[in-house]
Amino acid sequence: MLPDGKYNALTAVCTHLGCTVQYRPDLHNVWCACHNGMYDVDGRNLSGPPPRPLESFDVFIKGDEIYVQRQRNA
Amino acid sequence: MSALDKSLGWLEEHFRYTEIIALLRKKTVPVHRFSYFYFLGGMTLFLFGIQVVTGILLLLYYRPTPNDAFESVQYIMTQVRFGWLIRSIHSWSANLMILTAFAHMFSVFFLKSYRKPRELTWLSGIALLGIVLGFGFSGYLLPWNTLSFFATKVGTDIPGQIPGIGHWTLTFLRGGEDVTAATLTRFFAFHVALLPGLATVLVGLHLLLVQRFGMSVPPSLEAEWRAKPAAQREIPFFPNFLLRELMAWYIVLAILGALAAFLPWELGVKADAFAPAPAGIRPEWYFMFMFQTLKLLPAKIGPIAGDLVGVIGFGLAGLMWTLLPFFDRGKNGRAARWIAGAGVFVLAYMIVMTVYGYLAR
Repeated sequence: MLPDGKYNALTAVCTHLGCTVQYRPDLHNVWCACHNGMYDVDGRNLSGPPPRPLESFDVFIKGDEIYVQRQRNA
Repeated sequence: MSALDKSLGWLEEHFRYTEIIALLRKKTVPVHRFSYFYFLGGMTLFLFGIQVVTGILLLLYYRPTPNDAFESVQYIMTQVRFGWLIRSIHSWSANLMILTAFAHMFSVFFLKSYRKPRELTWLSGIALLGIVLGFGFSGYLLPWNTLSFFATKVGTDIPGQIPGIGHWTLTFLRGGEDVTAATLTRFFAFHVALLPGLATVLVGLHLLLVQRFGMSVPPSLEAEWRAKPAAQREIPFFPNFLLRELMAWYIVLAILGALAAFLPWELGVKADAFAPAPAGIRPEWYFMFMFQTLKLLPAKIGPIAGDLVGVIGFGLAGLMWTLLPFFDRGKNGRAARWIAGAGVFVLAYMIVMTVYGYLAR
């Protein structure tokens, strides 16, 4: 969940060499420990070796449930 | 006739061992100021022997499945009598073996021992170094801890970048798309069956070639000895050189024993496929220079992916290094200086990148 209350769903597989990334609360970014790759919370690759943004999913909320699905346009 | 004489007589009749000893006595080893480097190959062989023995002992308890692997190593280290020591020796000896193998290779490089007619000795040595690194890479995964799990993920992804055969190589190494139980089974098979078999054959060939051509003398000494033949010295292989070699093994054993006993090898945390890669993740030190290079390369170099440039660069450098004896015909002084310079650069690059990799965390 982002500070503005919106939801974001990203795949945790780094686009560089496939390590599992993690959210870094201290940096407000998504970080890959393997080769110091950095993404923003929308999955855009900011620095380090990652060549592409993280794959992201569509998120919508119905009642109390959160639905995540593959992007239609991708 | 004593019992000993009788048995020796029987052995002679059925094995003809005195002929072998006579051959060993006839064989000589040159003595000079670089003679110490002759011990490095034998030290590597000694450590390989330790790996075989301790590896067989570990096999008695180790179980190669994601559910059991970590626990079985834990069991070896906590419950099996002297299990911690055997595992610690296996891990330390593996690292020392890679160190002595690299030292052996660089000493052969700088003393130019790869020159004609020893090209095949060099090629079989490079193949053995590849096998030793394969042992290291496959063995690293077997305890199934977090570090080794992600190191394997990255390490198998790197050949996956090669155009054309990349994806095939990746699935062959992993036994599927991802690092799973299939990968562990496969790495176990490589580590305890395929690689030991290949290593045994190649070590045999390598030693045979060393016996065929004898020890190489560096070109600078060859020239000195030509000018002053009286300065040339040599000792019999048996027992003189063998006893000196045993002394070197003894020192290696002391270092190994001290390291294994005082700095027991850690086990780490059990791998969790769903957890993120931990901070401070790194490969074994001998892959660090490549790891650090890949870390420094930008995402794109011109139109090509940065990793691909790195992988192709290392591949080409490795190929050139392998084919070295065919470049260096030992005739042209300028070419020889270039090659020595390239060797210094390679060694310096590996050391600087390794140190940088450890400091830059």
